[in-house]
Amino acid sequence: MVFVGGEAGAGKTSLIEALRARLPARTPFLYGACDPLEVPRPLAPLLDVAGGISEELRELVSSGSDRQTLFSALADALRTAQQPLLIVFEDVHWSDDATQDLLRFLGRRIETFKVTLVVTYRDDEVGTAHPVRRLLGDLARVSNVHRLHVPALSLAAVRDLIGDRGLDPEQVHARTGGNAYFVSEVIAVEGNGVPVKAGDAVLARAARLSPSARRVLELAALARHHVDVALLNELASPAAVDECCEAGLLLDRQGKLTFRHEIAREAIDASVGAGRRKSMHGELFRALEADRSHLADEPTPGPDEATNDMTQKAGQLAVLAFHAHEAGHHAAVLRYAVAAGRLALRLHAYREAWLQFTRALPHSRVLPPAERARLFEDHGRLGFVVDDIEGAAASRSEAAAMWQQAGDPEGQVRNLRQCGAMLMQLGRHEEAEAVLADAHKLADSLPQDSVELAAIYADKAWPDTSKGAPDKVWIDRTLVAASVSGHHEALAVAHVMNGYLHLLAGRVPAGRRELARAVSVAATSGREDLEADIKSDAAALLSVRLRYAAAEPFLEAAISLARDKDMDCTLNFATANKARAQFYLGRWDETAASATWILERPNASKVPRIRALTMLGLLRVRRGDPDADPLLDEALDEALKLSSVVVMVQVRAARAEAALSREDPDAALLEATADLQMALDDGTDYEVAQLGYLIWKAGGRPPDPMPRDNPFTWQVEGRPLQAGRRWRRLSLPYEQARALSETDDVDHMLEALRIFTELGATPARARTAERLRQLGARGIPRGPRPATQANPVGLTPREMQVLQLLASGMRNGEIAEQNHVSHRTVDNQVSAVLAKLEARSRGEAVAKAYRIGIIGGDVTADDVSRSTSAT
Amino acid sequence: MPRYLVERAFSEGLHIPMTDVGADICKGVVERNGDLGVTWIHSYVTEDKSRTYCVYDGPNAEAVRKVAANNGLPVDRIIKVFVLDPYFYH
Repeated sequence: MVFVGGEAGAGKTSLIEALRARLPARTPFLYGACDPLEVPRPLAPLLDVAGGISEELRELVSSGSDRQTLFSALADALRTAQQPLLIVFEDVHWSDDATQDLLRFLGRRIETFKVTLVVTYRDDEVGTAHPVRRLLGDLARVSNVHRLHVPALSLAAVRDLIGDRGLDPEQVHARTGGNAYFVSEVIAVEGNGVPVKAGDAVLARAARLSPSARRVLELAALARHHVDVALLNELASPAAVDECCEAGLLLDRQGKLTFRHEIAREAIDASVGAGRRKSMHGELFRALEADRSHLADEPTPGPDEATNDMTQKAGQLAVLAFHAHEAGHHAAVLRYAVAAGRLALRLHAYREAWLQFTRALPHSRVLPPAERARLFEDHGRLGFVVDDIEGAAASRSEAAAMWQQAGDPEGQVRNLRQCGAMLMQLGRHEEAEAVLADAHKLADSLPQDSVELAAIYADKAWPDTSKGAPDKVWIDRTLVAASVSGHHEALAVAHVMNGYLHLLAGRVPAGRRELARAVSVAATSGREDLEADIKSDAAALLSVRLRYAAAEPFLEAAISLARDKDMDCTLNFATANKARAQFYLGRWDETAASATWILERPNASKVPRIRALTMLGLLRVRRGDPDADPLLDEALDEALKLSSVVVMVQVRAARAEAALSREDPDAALLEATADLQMALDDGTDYEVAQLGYLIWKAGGRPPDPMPRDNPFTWQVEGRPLQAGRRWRRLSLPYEQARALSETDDVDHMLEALRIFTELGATPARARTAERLRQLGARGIPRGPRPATQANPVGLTPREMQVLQLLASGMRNGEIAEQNHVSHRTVDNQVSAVLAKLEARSRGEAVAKAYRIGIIGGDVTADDVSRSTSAT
Repeated sequence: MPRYLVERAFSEGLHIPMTDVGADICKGVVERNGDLGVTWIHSYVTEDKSRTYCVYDGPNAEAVRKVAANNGLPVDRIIKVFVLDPYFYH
């Protein structure tokens, strides 16, 4: 796998063409590209190449199979390919999330595939926060993933290209900055002898074409993605299309036309004036609509109906909606955007569906109330899914008004409830309560068999999930009503609430059984969004009881469903909770990755964002890293706007711990007591106990009585060992070590020291070591043991050991035996060692390792020949 | 971009030869740093080569730790610092 980076026009594509020309004649070459669309087509490059890999894969892709199935089918196909393949993915700086996941997936397994995968990207357009940058970081240490930078042309290279054309190489080089594409364009227009600005070179070249060929060029530029040759033939003339291809401005790739370079497309696109732009989009729209108008009239296939060309059809509808929008054909925008959105919804492409409905809404006044209500309701539902909560609340409110006009009180209730829930989540409690009161009042007039009743009861069971506990009476009513009406969501929610009641009462196994029941109701409902949400909720409630290890599998499942279906709200929420679980379970590097991921999401809503800020802030506190305060300050600012107990206690506890760590007990006391009353009123025993413990640590008086049967309470009461055992059972290493460090027993404190060291909890480690010294303990390990045997080529401790064994002349089989691992594992380790040492053979690797000094002793010719002979 | 002082302990000493190999090693570190927007400015190495104090620019402490892991380098402590020179107030 090779990532080819370079600025736009550096010559990445030319490099690939050159590579292709050197390959044996019949090497299969597959080409996929990402397009500069405002809504990237999901997995666009895979869509392009799937057919060339296998017929089965093509069908899977076009029928909108889920990501897991697709990825593993692709892996199988690449593993069992008849002959080596060359696959090119172009311009991945424009790729969608799914394509990046695909590349990550392939990169990690690339050694097992018979494929060379070349991936191009504009490295000047991927800043540090760009997802492609992260992809490169993730694959940085994978062997057989390489990076190639295509630099600007040197003066000598420009001179070579100019040859005897009588241009001044120095001037051309200076003007173009050595950009290969600009250089070639400048050389191509050299005939008139007038110096041009590099960017104008494209236009100058276009200006020499016949008027009809220029028109083709403009149409192709406005069409954006690869456009059918046949379509342009129809709009212009085949001769004009040929002229563009002959001039080298357009390329014909398997019946689709594309610009030789995106720079050229952008230049042409920008040169088309507003008026003409509109009318040309109109032309493209009419031509495309002529043979596709039936698409919008076909019924959207039901959930069990698989149609092979759905993905393609959705793409065509989206293109029609795009051109209609640009051309200002309002009725057509409504028609095609709604149809495209419905099909996208059926394919679970939620973000795309949401964008299409967003496009359609402003033109929806012409629809009858019921249809318009349905459009707003879908838009609201999707807005929640993609984490646009504000927009979703507004659409739900509009939908409720429309259902009222249409005379459908059930629809009205349904949307008012959702609107209320979203306002609640936005922290707009008063508005939310007013809307919910309306919903409940209206619900009283609904017939007894209404499906909405179960949902209303569920609301009443737990009016504000950010505080307090659910009410058993209303849960039971919900269960009955939901069983009668078959309301899956209410039924699953009722089981979740029941489970939580058990957990609160300390009946953990019973609680987990109820949560499992909720998950199975959701899983059999056929609604993947419900399944993801219920799993995420179950994990959140287990986390309230500090059962992070039990919560994690639910979180993983929710995240994978949510990522697969673009459910950003659930994805953000579950990922933030995963950051918290990883943090308490002691996997701090992973915490940093998850939390940073959330903080870089532009649209993450408040709760996940606050949680990510808090966990990353606390991580810095416990590691002794700088800049915890700005994160914890922002977390507090945001939390104050929400008034949620769960969020608030977590932020206050983190801030109190930060203050304790900088030895400011007064500040710690202020933080820990600030919202203690809120925790006492509406919080759980853990929340009260946690604050109580921090108050005690800061030298204040914890609440009396402290919650019973709680490890924090035991620590306050001077029973740290008992607490330590509980923390260990909950798998919270830092909490365990902290409890052990509060004993006066040297052995327990040494154990605490060991755990702190392993975690990288530098300040706590230093404090514990200091206390041990005061107690007169001997043999305190000095300083942290380096996590990896430091060496400058980046070998892990295991790889170092393999290298040592290689140096002693062992064969792979012997190494496998000695390390009790499989041959395959050793093969991988050895190739990782070779790659990192940039050595071609084991002998070379060993020799190099001695030379660099990462393995000790003097190298002898004998050593080298022994390890070489084992190759 | 904030600047950090990264303290590292090398129990067996840091050995980078004064050859092309050493140059490649340093270049490798620089490139892997670049993935996460981290820049290695320079380092101070104790005489016995058992500790280094490395001056880094980077977006945050987590990125500095991540590239250290990618490079197989230990991290003892990360301190955020500002530059002060004798003529700072002139």
